[in-house]
Amino acid sequence: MSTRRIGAGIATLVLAGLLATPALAEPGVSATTIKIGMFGPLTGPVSVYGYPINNGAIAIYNEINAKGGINGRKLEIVHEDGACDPAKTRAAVKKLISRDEVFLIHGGSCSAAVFAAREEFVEEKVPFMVMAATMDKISDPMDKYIFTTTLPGSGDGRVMLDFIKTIPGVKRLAVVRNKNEWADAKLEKFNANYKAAGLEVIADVELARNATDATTQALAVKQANPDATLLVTYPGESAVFLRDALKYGLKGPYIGTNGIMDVLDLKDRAGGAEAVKDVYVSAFLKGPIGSPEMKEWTDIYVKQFPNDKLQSLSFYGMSGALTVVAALEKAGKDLTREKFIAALESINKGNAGPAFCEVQFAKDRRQGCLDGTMWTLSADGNTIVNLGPSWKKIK
Amino acid sequence: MWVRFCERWFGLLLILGLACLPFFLDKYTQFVVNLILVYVTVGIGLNFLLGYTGQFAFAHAALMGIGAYTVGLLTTRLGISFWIALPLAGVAAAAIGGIGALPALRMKRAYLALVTLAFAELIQWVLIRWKDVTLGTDGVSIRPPRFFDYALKGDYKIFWLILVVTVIMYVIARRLTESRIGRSWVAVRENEIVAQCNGINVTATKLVVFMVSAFYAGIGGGLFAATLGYIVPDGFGLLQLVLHFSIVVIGGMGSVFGGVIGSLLLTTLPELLREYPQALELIYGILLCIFIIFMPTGIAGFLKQWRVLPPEVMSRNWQALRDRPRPEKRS
Amino acid sequence: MDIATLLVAGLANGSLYSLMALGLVLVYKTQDVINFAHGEVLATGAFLGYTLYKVVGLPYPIAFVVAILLGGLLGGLIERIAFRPIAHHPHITLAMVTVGLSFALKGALRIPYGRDIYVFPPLMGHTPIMVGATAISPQSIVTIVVALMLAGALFAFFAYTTMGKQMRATQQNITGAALVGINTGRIFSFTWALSCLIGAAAGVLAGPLSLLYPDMGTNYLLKGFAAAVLGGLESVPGAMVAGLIVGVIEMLFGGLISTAFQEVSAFFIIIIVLMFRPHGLFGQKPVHRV
Repeated sequence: MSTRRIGAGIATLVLAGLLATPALAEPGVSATTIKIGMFGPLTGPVSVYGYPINNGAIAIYNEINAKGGINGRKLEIVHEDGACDPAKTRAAVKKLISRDEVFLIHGGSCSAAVFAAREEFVEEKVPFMVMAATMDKISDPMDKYIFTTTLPGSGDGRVMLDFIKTIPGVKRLAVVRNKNEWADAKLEKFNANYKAAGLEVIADVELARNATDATTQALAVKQANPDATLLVTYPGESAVFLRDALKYGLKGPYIGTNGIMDVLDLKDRAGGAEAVKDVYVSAFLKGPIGSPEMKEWTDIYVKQFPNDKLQSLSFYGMSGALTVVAALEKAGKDLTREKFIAALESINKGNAGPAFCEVQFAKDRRQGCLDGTMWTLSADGNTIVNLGPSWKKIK
Repeated sequence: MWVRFCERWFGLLLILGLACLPFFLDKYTQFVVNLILVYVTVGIGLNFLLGYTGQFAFAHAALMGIGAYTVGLLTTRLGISFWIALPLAGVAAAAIGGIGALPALRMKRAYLALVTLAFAELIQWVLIRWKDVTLGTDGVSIRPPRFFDYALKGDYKIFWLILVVTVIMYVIARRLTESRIGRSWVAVRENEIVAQCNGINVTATKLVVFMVSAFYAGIGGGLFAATLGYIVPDGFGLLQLVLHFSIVVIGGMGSVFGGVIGSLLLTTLPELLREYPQALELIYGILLCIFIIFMPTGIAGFLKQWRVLPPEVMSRNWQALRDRPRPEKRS
Repeated sequence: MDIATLLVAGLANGSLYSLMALGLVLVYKTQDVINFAHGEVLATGAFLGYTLYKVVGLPYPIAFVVAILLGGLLGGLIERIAFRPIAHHPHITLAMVTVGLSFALKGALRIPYGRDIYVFPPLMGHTPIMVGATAISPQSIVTIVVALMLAGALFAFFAYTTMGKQMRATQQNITGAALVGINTGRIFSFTWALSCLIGAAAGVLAGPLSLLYPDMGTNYLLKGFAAAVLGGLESVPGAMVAGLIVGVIEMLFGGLISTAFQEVSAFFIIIIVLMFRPHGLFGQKPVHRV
């Protein structure tokens, strides 16, 4: 037999084999399970945010499993570490898709890292629900496979700006900010719109990540003497700034992002109620921890993770998980990725659980939650008060 | 001669074997393999400085960033072809590395470490704040390189590009370290005064090694950008630097081949430890210490000692590095 | 901008940088290596202090002393286990071990303390004392005073105790010291213990200013390293002075020029200083024998 004949024979066999293979089952779906990939910063400095956020989503999925799963299938979670690093995160997502063959991915808390992995979802056509990353360009311009129920940075900027407009006598602002993509995302829309609102930014002050001292920042704000100060800094740095602001005799009001909505934590870290008495923060949860609106979700979290500290981060991932569950139910027994996407797109006034909004997706809409509210501390400094969108004097 | 013959044929076989990898690997493994190759170039570059010339310099991660940004900005913002941008990435890094080296030429050890570290911090500071050019914290998305009309998109196709460049860089490195230039580096490492007495221009030699090392960092950075597809200034900070140092020291200082082993080990290790995120840093740290305590001359040195690898694998006079007399101090 | 306020804040931060620099210089003088795990030593000290003071409930001075002694013990152990076997290897190899240690210590801290940011209450409250128009926080005064006391104790130790004198002898010439009967191994362990003791003290002092998390030491390490080099690496008083200088430079640049420049200002100045004085402000050019 000539070599060519052998070659032809092999080719025929391969072709026959290919044709004989039954239509491929959808990756990650078996008769009894649906595989959900999850990733986030589980190592490194940012892991302090990674675990509580992802655990909130895991708590929801476990709760669903305890109730019997979805259409007879249990949810199986594959958890990977992205370390908040673009290369590690991209590797994690590739692993979830090509090795673990998950059906969908729900994860990501670091904007730059998630954006680095974005191409994977687009290329591989794997549905992706953003966990807590806020950078706008992850979901806008939209891609068919990428959804988010987290309030994007631009939305947070808008909530804060709308609130500032309602504070009487506030025209001149100072901005204290971190210099990173997180802060830039929150400030981008804000910077584009404040002039139209008749406001003026008279000082733009930078506070380094993990700063332990904010003397120069506080003095710069004091010198500018603004009517209000916008804080676009992480929780630790916000506390450091407020502590030093009190020390050098600055006057509020201070308006903070939803990154510091745990105002009671902020109070402890800044050294007491005095430092945070004139602080207003954007928030996207229905109520503060311990409030009746949050009881259902608090119970779910505590049941699954009894040793974790309860913080607002514990609830960031829940709205996404609930939306995933709702869409999986809707997509039916005969689950495919395309059906799942269609089910997500049809979600109208969906349950966002502990989040302030109702989830709204459409064929041309991928940002499901755009609502936020404002919180502040009560006069005695022991409870959080929900102010709604506009400023009020608290008693 | 025998060694040379073996290296050549074995190397060729290895490269051919590697070239077939995309047919067998899943995308995740392929991505990790790509990263390993990228770090081979980066690691070899740092080894010139650290292992061959004994210069304790800390700017390698920032220079890799310069390379990555050169490729990213030239291809994405100016539409220049990747094939021109990649060499330019090396040139840009070498130029900036050369400028950074000027104040560093007089310094040694910890002083050099700090000056280069400070220089690296300044580079990162500029990358973050010069928004009009670098796009700041938004980062840069990189278009896949094109080979005529064929886009090298995805991990499998980009792999061949990286493989070819890595092999070229490796061969150049081997030639360079065995040449007069490479020997002058080792002479400077062993004793600057003796080197000078032997007619080596120490300052010029140091400047050259800083620039060659930066060139490697730049090329590595360019490949890194092409592999990852998206770069941010934060990616080229201290953690990146620590990875480079680990690659060189654990792989084997003063050995080009050490860069390959180091990169293979240090890139795969965190991936293998993925199962245990809670203890990853602890295990990683302890493993680093154990490797260094039991193989202080790196894996390459260890293998040479046990005659697994030929002596040519390390730079000359390696033993002298072990018990080097220390400078005397005034009280 | 109020210069006096900037100076006071700069000195308070600077005194912590000084302590960091001091710890780095001690090890550098005897073993020729920069301890890149020193930031984690600081964090360990801070968490030890926190645990003893807040969780165990010891009074502050006792918690402070116990925490720094434990820090010292950690230093001695590090030297004995990770350093002694490879002490004669090139400094780059030694530096790499400290990098590994830094990962390991940080990883170890993350297991119990990695899920939250902890608050170390200040010893004296945050309400500032006003001297004219200058606000001085009592915690800053505590920091500066304790730092100066530690430095003073260190000077006395080197000048008057046998161990201190033996350490100086070893720093100058290891072989010579060994020849006259000094147990250099013990000196190495003790140096590390002393260095880590000072690092842990910096941690307990930094606790109330910073917040507590396993990565809190990185920034202090960078600034302490900068100060150590600026001071000339071999000089204990140099490290003290340079730490204060770095603290003040940061405040002046941040306050008078721009807050965007604050973080890199010290590095910028140090590059320029080293161009003219390659061995720092207080260092001397070493003598090389061929």
